[in-house]
Amino acid sequence: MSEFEKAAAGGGGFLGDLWELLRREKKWWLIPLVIVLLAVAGLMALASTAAAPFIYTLF
Amino acid sequence: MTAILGLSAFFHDSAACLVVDGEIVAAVQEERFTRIKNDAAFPARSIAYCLETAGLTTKDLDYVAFYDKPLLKFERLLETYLSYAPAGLASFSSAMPPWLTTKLFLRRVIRGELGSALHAPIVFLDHHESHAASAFFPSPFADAAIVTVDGVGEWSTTTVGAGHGRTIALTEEIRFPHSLGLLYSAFTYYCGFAVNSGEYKLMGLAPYGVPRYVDTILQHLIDLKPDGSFWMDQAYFQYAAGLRMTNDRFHALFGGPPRSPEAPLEQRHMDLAASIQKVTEEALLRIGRHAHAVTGQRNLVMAGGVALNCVANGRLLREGPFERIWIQPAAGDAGGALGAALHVWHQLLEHPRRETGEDRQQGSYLGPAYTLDDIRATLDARGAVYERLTDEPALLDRVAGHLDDGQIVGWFQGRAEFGPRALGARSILADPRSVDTQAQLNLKIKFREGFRPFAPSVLREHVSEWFQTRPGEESPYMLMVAPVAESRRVALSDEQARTMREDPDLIRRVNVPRSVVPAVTHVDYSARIQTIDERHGRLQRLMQRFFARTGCPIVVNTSFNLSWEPIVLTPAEAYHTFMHSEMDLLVLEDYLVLKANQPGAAAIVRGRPPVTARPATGWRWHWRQLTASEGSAIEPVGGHRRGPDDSNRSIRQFSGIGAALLIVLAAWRAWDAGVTSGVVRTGVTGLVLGLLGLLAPAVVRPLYRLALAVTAPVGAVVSRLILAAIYYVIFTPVAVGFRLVSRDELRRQRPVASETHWRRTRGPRAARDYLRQS
Repeated sequence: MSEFEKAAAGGGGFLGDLWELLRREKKWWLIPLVIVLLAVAGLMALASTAAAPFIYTLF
Repeated sequence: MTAILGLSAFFHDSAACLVVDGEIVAAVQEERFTRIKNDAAFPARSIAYCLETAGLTTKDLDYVAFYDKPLLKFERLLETYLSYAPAGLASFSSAMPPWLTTKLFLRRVIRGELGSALHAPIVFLDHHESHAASAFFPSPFADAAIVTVDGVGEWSTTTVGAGHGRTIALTEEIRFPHSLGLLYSAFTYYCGFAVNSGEYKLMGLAPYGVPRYVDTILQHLIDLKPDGSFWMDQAYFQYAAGLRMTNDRFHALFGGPPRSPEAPLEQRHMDLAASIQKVTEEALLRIGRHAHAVTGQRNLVMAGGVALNCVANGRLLREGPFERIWIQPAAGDAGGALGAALHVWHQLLEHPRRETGEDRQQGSYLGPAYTLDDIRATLDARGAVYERLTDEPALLDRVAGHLDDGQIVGWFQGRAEFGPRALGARSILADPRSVDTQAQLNLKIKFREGFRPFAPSVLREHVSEWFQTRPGEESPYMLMVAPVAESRRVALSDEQARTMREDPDLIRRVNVPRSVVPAVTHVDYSARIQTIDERHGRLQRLMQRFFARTGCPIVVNTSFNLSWEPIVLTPAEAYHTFMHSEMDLLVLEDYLVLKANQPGAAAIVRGRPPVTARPATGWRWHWRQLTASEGSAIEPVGGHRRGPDDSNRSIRQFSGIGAALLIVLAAWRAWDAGVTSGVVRTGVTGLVLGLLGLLAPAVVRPLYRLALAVTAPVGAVVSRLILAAIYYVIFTPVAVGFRLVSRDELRRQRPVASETHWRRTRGPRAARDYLRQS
């Protein structure tokens, strides 16, 4: 079994990928920018559901 | 059995490719199914076709390989805005929504699209690694230098490396925003053609011009080193953080604003096209020499959008250091799907390549085929009059005879091509010797004002007799340009020479016969050749018949489509296109359809369907360019998540949330001010809303739609304001801080006394990194 096949047996997630990127590139100052943008992403995700009229009203 | 599905999606040219035990089973671009040119949507239909071809379902897949790393691309976007803020808000505001809803979460999106039966891990490759894999692994070479050149992937825009056996390694790169592809696209935009699809037109326009802007380009726009590395002065461009490719400084340098598409082409535009083409050729030649020097390889493989510049490819082959060059036919982003899948098989799963000396692209005939029953049913359903000729020699003799008579043939055979070129499976064929062929094809078949000649398919054993190539030279995928042989050219009269030099009408210029095969000879005697051999099957046998009959081993081969459509895929689309153009004959496998025999053929309106919307001209065209690019001049369409629908489920959710809010409000007011009639009304309204949503959602639907209609515009405005606030309050101070400490991540400042602009790549990735989006 190759290294890749062993690695493929494990899982991965968005936040882990993001953390790995920040760690590898040592771009810690991206953290606040990303947090704020992810908060907007959360709002946008809600706005694509039936809660949209209430989310828009919150805006 | 190991099945690997390769995907490219969400930017442009979505595609899917299936590799089973190392063999390319199927590959197709989504546009062929959806009929939307360069479609960027998730390639659901392409995936379905690939799986069906192999008799598999998603649960049988072992790996899904995506062609780039979205988080790295997102990091590049953030760095770009930090380099330009406070400028760049318009680009930021329109780029962020698709990223924040879809592109950042591609693992989840892909799993969602492929369904719960999918258990395979999703692998993410570097964009240029996918290109490199698509170039090297299917190539006929055991070892080769690799060059990839395109607009941009994550950060890389150009890479150099080598492939050995089952591995590839990219060792040097040029990074965004310095990009040969984007430089070419900037001139494409400036000359009035569409970015990402009009580059061919600019290349075709170049032979009409004089390259008098070369020095200006090299002096102001690009610092091109002898080793092919380059740096571009971003003071002239706006693509990095803007909605246009070029800016006012660029326009001032070249004598005016960008040309609108409907404006006439002036000599200046032709000279600009000639100039940027020459600079591109020079850069590719130098990159090729550098790749040869650092790798010591005799052969070269290439991919990336710039590798579709067949004029530059031809020069690289003739003037460069390599003995042979192989270019991935789907060199653009669609080919990334194929590269990603092969990369997993060879490099990550460590399976060796089978070296046969032949390429593994299978003529690029990797798309859908249709049975004789399918074709007959299609023709019968349309009341078509047809013959079936089961005797192939008889069929080919008939078709060769029609071609010899100057007739134009729709040619539909076998599996569809993967890649932008028609290679003999979905082609329109014609006699290249006729002086009328070119105008007829342009005006009556393609319905365009074509200033470009058509491409020749030539029997490989005759190629050097007709074109300036080595004997038996291969160009099976129509990716090399070569000059027409001197012996095949014809002398021009004084008047013809004057027309060629001075006539402002390019159509009249290109219609001057310059060789004995005028339909395929450009004004500079160049031709974009496809050599035909055994892999091209029935097309080769047809051309042998045509040659035996006429002594001409060449036919015109142009894509089977009307100019505003993708290439046809199905027999029904082929028949429709045949009937809506002036083609004389349609050959669908064994079936032969003559236009003259078709009932009602004369009554069918040919040409472009009526446009109901007002065509975009002037500022509207520019606006369309901006809005079509979704966020930046180089970040085209992207999959926005769909908005809320008005299904019963959504309405129940809406009613439930509304009811809960009203009841909580009533309870809070009751606690605060006691039970009043208002409190009762609020509570009852909540209850009624909840019950109606549950029991009779149709009653609530108008209210739901009204609420969406009223609040959505407010949300659209406010979300823009929120993004603007983020940009000015958070990004801009960070950006200003970086500038104060002279941080220049994009290398916008001209490097001082640098001998090279090549940068070493990071080197091989750890195996687990391929499972990350970053």
